[in-house]
Amino acid sequence: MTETFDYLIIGGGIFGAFAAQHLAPHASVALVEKEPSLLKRASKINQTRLHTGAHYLRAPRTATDARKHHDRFLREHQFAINQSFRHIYAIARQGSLTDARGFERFCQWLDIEATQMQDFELLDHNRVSDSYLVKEPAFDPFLLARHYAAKLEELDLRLHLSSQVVSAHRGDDAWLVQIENEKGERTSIAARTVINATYSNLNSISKIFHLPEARIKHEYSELLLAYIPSLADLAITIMDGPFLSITPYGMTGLHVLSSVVYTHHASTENSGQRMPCQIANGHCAVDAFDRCQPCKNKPESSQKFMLNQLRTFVPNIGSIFIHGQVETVKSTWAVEDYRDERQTSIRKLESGPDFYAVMSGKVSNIYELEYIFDAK
Amino acid sequence: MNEMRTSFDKDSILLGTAGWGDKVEKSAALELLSTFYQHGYRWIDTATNYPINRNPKEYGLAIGWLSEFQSDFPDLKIFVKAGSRTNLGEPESFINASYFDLVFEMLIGQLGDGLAGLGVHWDNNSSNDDRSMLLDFFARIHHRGYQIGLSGIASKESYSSNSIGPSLPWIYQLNLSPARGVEIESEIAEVRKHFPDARICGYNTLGGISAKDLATSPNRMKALSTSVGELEGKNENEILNRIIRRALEKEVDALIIGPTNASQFSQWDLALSGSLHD
Repeated sequence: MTETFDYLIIGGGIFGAFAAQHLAPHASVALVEKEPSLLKRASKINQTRLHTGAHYLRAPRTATDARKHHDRFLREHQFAINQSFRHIYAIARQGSLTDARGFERFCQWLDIEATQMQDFELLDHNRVSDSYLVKEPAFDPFLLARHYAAKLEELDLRLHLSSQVVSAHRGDDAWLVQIENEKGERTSIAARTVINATYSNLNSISKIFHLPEARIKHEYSELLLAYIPSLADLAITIMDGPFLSITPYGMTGLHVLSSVVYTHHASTENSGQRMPCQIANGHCAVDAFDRCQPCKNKPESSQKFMLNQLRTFVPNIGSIFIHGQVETVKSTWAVEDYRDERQTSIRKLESGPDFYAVMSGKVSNIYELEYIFDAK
Repeated sequence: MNEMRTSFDKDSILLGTAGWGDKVEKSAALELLSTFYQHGYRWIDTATNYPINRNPKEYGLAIGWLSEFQSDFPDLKIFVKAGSRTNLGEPESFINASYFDLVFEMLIGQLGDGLAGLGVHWDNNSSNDDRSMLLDFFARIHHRGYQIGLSGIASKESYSSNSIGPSLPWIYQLNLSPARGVEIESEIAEVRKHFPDARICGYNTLGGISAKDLATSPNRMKALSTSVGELEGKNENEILNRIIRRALEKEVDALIIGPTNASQFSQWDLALSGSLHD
């Protein structure tokens, strides 16, 4: 038996969950998520920085998108926001693609307050020319996941966890979709509109629907999680280029260390070859990813290089207690590296029945989905 | 009334790893694990901050070794305690659901199917702050088939004064150090009162020192007060037998043992099976 829905949302990250939350009170909605719970992958495994835009000097569209929604996200997700620390943006003396004046001008343009600090003692001032205090909080992905899971539970919608789309074709006025759960049981769904919010797996879903693929770059990424007593109320971002950031990871008490050079181990594009770890894994396609975290074939950790780089810029950091690491695939538009563009895109790939492809790496840009809601 | 148990089955014995990276070198740890495994035991007890040797670079070393060794011991069951911020021996810990959610993810990454359980490793906050989100996390992972535990909890009330905590089948770790006397009985009674479905797991069975040390080092024994004094003059076999009898008498459900090498473990094995003669 085929059940008909107004919307089928594929992907239970924050974009899929937000869309379901907004659509379910007014329409029939089904949501399909590969994992056993919501917000499990990219929504969780990231720097948890609630971007103001200051980080994206080389990507003005990404910066303005982040700035546009920052305050609203903050206001509407207060329960999951950590503002109990100072975020220091420091400009590297060598190799940086900006300088102090450039950073100041950019912050003015974005209307972000950046207060210059004098002799911030943890940093090596031979390597860093200027440092600024920028108000940029962190979100807690686990609290967000709880929030959205509770919200969706209250609503009348069909949630298919541990399930994935295995086939789809276009009917007269609806997409006819087969979903398979972890036990191999199949369910047939007809949906008048499909929203593909699967991030890294975006193209693999488009392929199942026989729709055009987007040019996406995928990077296997490793983040370190540590307790660092000297950074109890601090975050540090070194700008702008092949540097690093160390920021609180939500409200866990740990910091997350991310390095432009060492976090990303390998990359691929959907038109290219699989990464070596994908080949070894066997279950990964070039555009469809198994979970990296428990994968036995993941690349060797770059921990020592990341820590060396951190100590180079922050020599007085003191003791670092590594509590572990998380790994995932981060996906971006395949543009030239120097552009650093991470802009959110919602593309309507098909009409009547409709199909939208959502691609974003910034949680606060969930509000861009209102474009779809408004269109309806 | 139930009759007292006369021995521990193999699933009730956990190999302790507190000394790994400190008193136990990597090769000895591997040999110890290998012997333990060959004798049919599967459970390991560890913590994210082992060894507690005041060397920040070695925070998590014991789990790192287990992760490395694991491929040779496919059905090992590793119970991990988490929360301690450092391995400096300081009591501060992270007691929030987000931290545990994150650590759980990271441990799955490190130990995969070998991860069999997760517990709180010290909660020195004696206030009855709301721990409902943390308890909800533990209920969730228990539902997924993981063992859950508590160790070094200052306030049992903070985990039991709600609808979730008392109903969970915690593995409650309890200090069985020979230095402790009658307070063990009262603590066991307290645990049973707050957590009726808990299994009590004794640790610190030798107070962090080997049976040989106990038998041959009068100063160490003196420092460990009267109950250890009872062991004075006894040989190593007698001490092991007494420790096991003591745990059985106190109706402890499981035991963490801490041999530091394979031959010490073999003695433990004989004692646990009742074949070690005084």
